Amino acid sequence: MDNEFTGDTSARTDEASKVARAQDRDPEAFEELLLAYQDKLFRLALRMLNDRGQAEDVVQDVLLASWRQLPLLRDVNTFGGWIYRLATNRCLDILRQRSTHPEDITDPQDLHCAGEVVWTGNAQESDPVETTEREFRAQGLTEALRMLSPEQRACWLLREIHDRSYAEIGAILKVPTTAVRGRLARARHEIAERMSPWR
Amino acid sequence: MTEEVTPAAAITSQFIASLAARAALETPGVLRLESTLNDVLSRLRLAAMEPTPDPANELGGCRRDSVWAEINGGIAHVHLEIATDIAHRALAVSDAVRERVRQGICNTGVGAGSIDISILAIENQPTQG
Amino acid sequence: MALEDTPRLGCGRSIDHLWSTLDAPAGEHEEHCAHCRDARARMIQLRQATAALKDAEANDPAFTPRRSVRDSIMDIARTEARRSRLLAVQDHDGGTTEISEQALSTVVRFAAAGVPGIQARRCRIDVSTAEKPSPTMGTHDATGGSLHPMVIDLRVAAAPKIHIPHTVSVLRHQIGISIARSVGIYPVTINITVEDLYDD
Repeated sequence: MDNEFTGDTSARTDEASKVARAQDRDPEAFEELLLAYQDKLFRLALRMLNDRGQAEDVVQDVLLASWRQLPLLRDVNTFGGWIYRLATNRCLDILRQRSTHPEDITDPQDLHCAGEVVWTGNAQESDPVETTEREFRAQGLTEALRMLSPEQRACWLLREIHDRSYAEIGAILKVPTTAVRGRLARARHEIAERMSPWR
Repeated sequence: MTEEVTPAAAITSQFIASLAARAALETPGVLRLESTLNDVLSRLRLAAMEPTPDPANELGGCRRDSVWAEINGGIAHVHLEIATDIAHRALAVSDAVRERVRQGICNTGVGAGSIDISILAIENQPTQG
Repeated sequence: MALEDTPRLGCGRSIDHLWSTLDAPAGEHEEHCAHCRDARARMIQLRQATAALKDAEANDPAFTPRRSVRDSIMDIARTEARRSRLLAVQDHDGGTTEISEQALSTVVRFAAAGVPGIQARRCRIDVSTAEKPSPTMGTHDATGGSLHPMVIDLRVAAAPKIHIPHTVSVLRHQIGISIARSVGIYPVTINITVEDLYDD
């Protein structure tokens, strides 16, 4: 409890209360946790797998597993990192299975849908040149992301999009924090290199 | 009461289960009969998840949703799983259900044995509309 | 492992260092080094694109799972919760009545939610079937059944400025009333542990 009064105590304690109640098999508390995390986990899984159906399966499997395993979680303040670990590992397992049974299961519809967000979000921008440039950059980023190895992609997404700490990412990927820094730097470098043709 | 007194094979455990379900649902304070996990899973058609085996099937009784009934030696035994309205005293509701079911069973000519009730949820009655 | 070495630009500068100093003005080396200048420009673009992607994802319904995913999970969770622990509260000649701990906790939490400055956390409820039911429990079982004594252990977080003894006393009273009204049992013991603070 030494850090009890630092940071976003309110939000964290609030979540801790929900976690504790969900550990007690209170479905309403669990539903609040589900609402807080299902979209985040879906976004992570969609970027990892590029397949909506599989991303939804990951969300369903992981949240259900978390409900069932929750009573075993010792520290109620670690729920976020724990559920991200379940989701990331599930995605990496699926990608490993894909690589041993290589077939391109990416549905173009999914990619269109996932990519669409990038090019439709700027309707209010007035400068068409700037808009186009931004869209190209976003497309470049999305595509560069897909070229990374699954572990690197997970590392980059967890840090840059999901704001997880280096320590959490290290625990999720079972590597030391220094290795997380290294992978992240390498991922940024590779993405930046691949994006440059769009400049 | 023995099986001989009962009209031969006229009363099945399935009939008793239906009768008990109806009696429970007609009792004020009962919100619903609870679904079993198997019901939920089959409704969701989650092929990946294996339903747990239903012990009632192995015992030869009859289970309809969460009502289990068995007739043994002319005596009917019933187990009901219900949800009650938070505005009613759950134990009073349980007693009322037991009495209705017992009465219903007696009307069939079969003897009423144990009527066990599990209250699985106590909730606010959902508002209509 | 070579892969985990600090990744560096052609000039020897670490990429991690470059990234962490993007907001600072370029140093003398960076201004004159083609590797650094180039990498810096690309990284700034990447950072902008990352922020845009993050923002777009968070605000687009396309990045949300279908509602049926949530419904399926909650249907299963609710069904499992209701059966997780059943407490035999009443023996009766005509049969037994048991109530799920989760159903009883719902009543406890409902009562706790009405007490300002308190957040209910873990709730454990037990009935003692070993002891003979006490006639002094205040329970009244019209049909001649016997009720088992109930013990409630509730852990709570408290808002900083509340008067704990008073609030806990109100909470205990409310729980007792709610269990009596919604279940028909007067719990013999209600243990309340204040385990944490929360900001109201």
